[in-house]
Amino acid sequence: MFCLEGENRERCVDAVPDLDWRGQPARAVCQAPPQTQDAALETSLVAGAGKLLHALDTAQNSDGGWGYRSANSWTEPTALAALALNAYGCDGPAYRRGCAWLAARQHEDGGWSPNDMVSTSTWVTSLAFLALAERIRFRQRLAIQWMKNAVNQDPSRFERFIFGALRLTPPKVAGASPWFPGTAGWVIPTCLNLLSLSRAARMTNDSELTSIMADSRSFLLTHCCRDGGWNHGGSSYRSENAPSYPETTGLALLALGDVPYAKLAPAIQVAESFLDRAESSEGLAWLQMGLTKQGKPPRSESATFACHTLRDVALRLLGIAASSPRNQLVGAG
Amino acid sequence: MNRRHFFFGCFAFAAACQQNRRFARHQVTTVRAPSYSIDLTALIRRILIQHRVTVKHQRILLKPNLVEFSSSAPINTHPVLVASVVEAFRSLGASQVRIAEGPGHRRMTWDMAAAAGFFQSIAGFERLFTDLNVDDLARVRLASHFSSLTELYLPQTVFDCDLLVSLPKMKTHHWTGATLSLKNMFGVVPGSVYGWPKNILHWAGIDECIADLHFLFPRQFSIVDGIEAMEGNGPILGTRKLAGLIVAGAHAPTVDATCCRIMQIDPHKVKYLQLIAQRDLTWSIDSSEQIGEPVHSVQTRFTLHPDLERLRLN
Repeated sequence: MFCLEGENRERCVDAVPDLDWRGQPARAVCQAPPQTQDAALETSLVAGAGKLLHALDTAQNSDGGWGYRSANSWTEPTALAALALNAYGCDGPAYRRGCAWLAARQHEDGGWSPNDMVSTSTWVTSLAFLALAERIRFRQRLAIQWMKNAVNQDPSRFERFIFGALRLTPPKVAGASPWFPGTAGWVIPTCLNLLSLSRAARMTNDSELTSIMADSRSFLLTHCCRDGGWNHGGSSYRSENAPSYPETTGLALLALGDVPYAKLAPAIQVAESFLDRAESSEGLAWLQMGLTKQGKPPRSESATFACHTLRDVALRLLGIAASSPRNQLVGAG
Repeated sequence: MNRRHFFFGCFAFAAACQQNRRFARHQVTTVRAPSYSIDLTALIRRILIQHRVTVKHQRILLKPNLVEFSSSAPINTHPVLVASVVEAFRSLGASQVRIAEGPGHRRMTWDMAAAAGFFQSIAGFERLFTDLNVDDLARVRLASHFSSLTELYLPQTVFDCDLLVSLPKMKTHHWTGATLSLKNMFGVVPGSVYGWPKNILHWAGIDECIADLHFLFPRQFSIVDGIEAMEGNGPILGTRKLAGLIVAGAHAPTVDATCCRIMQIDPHKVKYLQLIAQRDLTWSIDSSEQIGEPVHSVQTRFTLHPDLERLRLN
């Protein structure tokens, strides 16, 4: 477990001593510190980032990947760690070994699976693509094709007829991406896929991407909660009053970077209100990146949260570096 | 003997066998527990002794329900009850008691556990807890095939114990009618592979997957938190229902059938119980040995989602 300043450090150290920075002073590992307009805030962020970067550095597995909490490497924390290191200009051996771990695990179908044990390519493909795009040699076209195929198409006439007869909404909505192939689309994988497809659109002349991305934006805009933000994206049927979450609201704002302000004004308001009650380091990180993408970078950090996994550490670093031009997540959309 | 006689003879023999079939009578304990401030450790200890649960030198894994957290709704198994169960197992000589869960909608498992009060209620919670959503994996072939799934990746932690204890909240569920010990096992399916929510289970059939997971983990003990329960649009958006009960037993389907009757839901109309009864020929939804409070004395009408009124116990 990792902690920023203000957290109960003893509690964290006890939990996962092998992953903690063990009280060592912050180390200046990075060249590109966060850019804020508040000098005091920047100083504290740099100190926090230094500790977190050190934590990432020491927790890298011998195979070059990162795990969530154990010594087994997973695609998601490895991709996020690579993105985080890159955001701070840390492109040394740790970054290169992380990218090599990812590049070596691209499947024949172009996608990535969550870890070596799982054979199916899943939603983590978007993150691996973002971590490697334009930096490392890998099969980009195959990856882009996989991500395009992952986006649900319009239901067929037959499906529409059946669901219409049952008075149900077809679960596979056009533009949505699933967590696992063959299932319904949800907010988080749709946002991540939209971010990576936006990045792909800048790298290729694939005209099909434009319409797919338009469908994905439309899915997100029609699947917000009543309060204006987003949650996991379940059907509103029997869940009409489900509230939004900070993390999904921040991520959706990040993915919807190209959408006009007028359409997102209520969501931005919700996201700003979440800043004081982000509930987790993940929530705070996505809010920081989403609001920065929408031109409303948060001015202060009123809350601190413990980082419980290496994924949390990487996301926290990316949130602190939301304004950095090297942050590939904020720059992707 | 002609073919007709042979056919009717077989039919009559099968019917007679059916009538004389002796179903296993699994014990279920129902006890009143008006609040979380009573001595729950002693109560749970009594239940475990009553059911002769082998605890000494055993590695116990507790699986509470932490699908989401809301300060205004009783979504989770109450941390005070979980703490009491930990103490009860320890006092009976368990070699290890761990807690594990993989929430279904959000990824901030530890933060939700903190918000729900697990850190405050359970000493050393951070050392005892495993987030099943990001645990190391085992690839497992399903023992039954009610759903369209043939195998699942599951967290290694659930296989590294001697006894898995399902600790659900007593709640209505807007798709299956009730979420109890059996449905609680959805929490072991890892989000890191299948997502948040674990939508593959919905596509493969919710009731069918509940049944498949039951046959994958036959050795369980169930302790249902029915002290503050949830009615209406459960499992997330329902409202508080004070039932004041703990229901427990070693056979999860029997425990769940008993809870359904308490909630005035007809267990015969709950599809996952039907499926389990179809496969387990030694078990009938109606066969049980009730210990403690008789069901009729603690029955309380749980509001159901209007679409599910057909499940109501007549």
